[in-house]
Amino acid sequence: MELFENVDPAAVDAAYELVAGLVQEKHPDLEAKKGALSELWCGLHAILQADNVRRIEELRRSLCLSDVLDDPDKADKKAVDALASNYGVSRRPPSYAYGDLVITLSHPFVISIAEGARLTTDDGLEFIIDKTLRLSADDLDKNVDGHYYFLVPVRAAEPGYVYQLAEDTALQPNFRIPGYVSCVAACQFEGGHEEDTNDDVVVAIMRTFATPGFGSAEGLEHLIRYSRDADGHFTDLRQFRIVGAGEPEMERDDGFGGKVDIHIAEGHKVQDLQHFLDQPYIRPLGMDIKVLVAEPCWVDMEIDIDTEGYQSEAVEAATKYVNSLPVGAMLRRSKLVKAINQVLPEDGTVSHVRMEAKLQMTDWKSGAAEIIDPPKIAAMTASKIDCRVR
Amino acid sequence: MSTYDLEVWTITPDGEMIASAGTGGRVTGIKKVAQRYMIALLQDLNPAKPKLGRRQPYGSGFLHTMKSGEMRTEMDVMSAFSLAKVQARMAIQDEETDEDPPEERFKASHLLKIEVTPGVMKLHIRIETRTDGIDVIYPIRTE
Repeated sequence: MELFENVDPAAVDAAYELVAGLVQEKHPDLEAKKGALSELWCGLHAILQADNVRRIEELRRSLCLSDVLDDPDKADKKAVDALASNYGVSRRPPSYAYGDLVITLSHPFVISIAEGARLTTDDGLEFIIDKTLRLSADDLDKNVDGHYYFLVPVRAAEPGYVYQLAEDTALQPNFRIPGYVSCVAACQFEGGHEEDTNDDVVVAIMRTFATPGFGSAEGLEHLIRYSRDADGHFTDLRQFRIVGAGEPEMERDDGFGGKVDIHIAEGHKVQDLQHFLDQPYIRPLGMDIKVLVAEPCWVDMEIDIDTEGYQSEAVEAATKYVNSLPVGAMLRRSKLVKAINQVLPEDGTVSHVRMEAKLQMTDWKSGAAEIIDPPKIAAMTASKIDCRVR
Repeated sequence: MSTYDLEVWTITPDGEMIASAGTGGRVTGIKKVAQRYMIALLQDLNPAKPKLGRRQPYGSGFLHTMKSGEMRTEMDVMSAFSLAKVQARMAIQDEETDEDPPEERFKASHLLKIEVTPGVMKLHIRIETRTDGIDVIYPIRTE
């Protein structure tokens, strides 16, 4: 790319007129506005000068929050990052979505899939298997329709939100699998996002010095983020999304109160939420709190179901139980089915089912922090369902 | 008013233009015009390039044609030069004003001869002002 492609031609002309005029004034008998001196020195000087002015202006704009917000694309990324560091804010790097796929086979074949094997959705999104997978026929699970299946973890080939596949999204493997029937996402994929834009970084900066209070989204976030500063809670939360605080979305999403989404950074303990929920000003305000965990957060559970009937009834009972959990938690259906199949008698009926399930806490609502307290879980069990948290 | 320019090329007694030794020499009159002409001829004509106060883009398509490998025969060179000399003339005359002395005002250029030797192509060019003329030889490395 040519040097002059980024500069303003008017700025180059202005710089040229200035330098050529100065030289001409100093040396009246020297040809400064045409010829070698003009073209090879005054002209280059003017281009470099205009480029310097452009860079200085870009730097100035990058260090001014309102200017960056006016036109985020014109701000220099490094300068914005340097500015953000003064406020303890950093740009979130891009990350790859990940999740499990369930691959269904017609018969129990031996499966060997090499690391780096790729699968593609109908939209052309590529996913990669990061670890070589070797399964014998005995490792496969049998599905209710007589097919065999196995789970394989994959990650997106590129970072981005678009790679967060919905559950049951179909994929096509770019490699051969014996007895292949289908391949779908076993769960909602998570963790994929683009790198923060300049706009995102500046909004994060502005929230750090917003006046704590309920009058604005920034103030509300400040109130939450630094409410437990002395205890070290919430100061490292990556991202807040506040819907409400007088904004139109408040009417759209919730007719009677604001809502706060809290994204917990990797390594942040879910238990810490209890500290937040205990804040004296949260409950009286009727604030609806939604917690989104950045990394998968699992609680291992054992669920015993005493029933006399078919597998489908056991599944229904278990599903009902999970759905009845007051926290609105989400159970990975594939893992639930797998657990049941492991203890399914040959005749298709069950008298006692023990499920080893994992409860994925990604979609909690108010009071979610209580679920991590095993005694409270046990107290919530239904008459024929006994649930223990390991 | 007659002015001088910094010397970029030295014109030897036999007319060959060679790079100046960088001693800060001065050129005047028709040699100054010859130098301006060669700068215009050898500068790539890029409309996006800043015009530096001029009304139109400065340069010619001669070197671009040469670098693209389209000059295989002397006829190709002459053809490219025919177009380039017009572009160079327009570029030079665009800079001139009525106050410039006649000996510094460009009038025309002619390609007299093309001398091709291994690795070097020499252009024999006649450059004319309103009062004078000069024959120069400009060597261009071709490899």
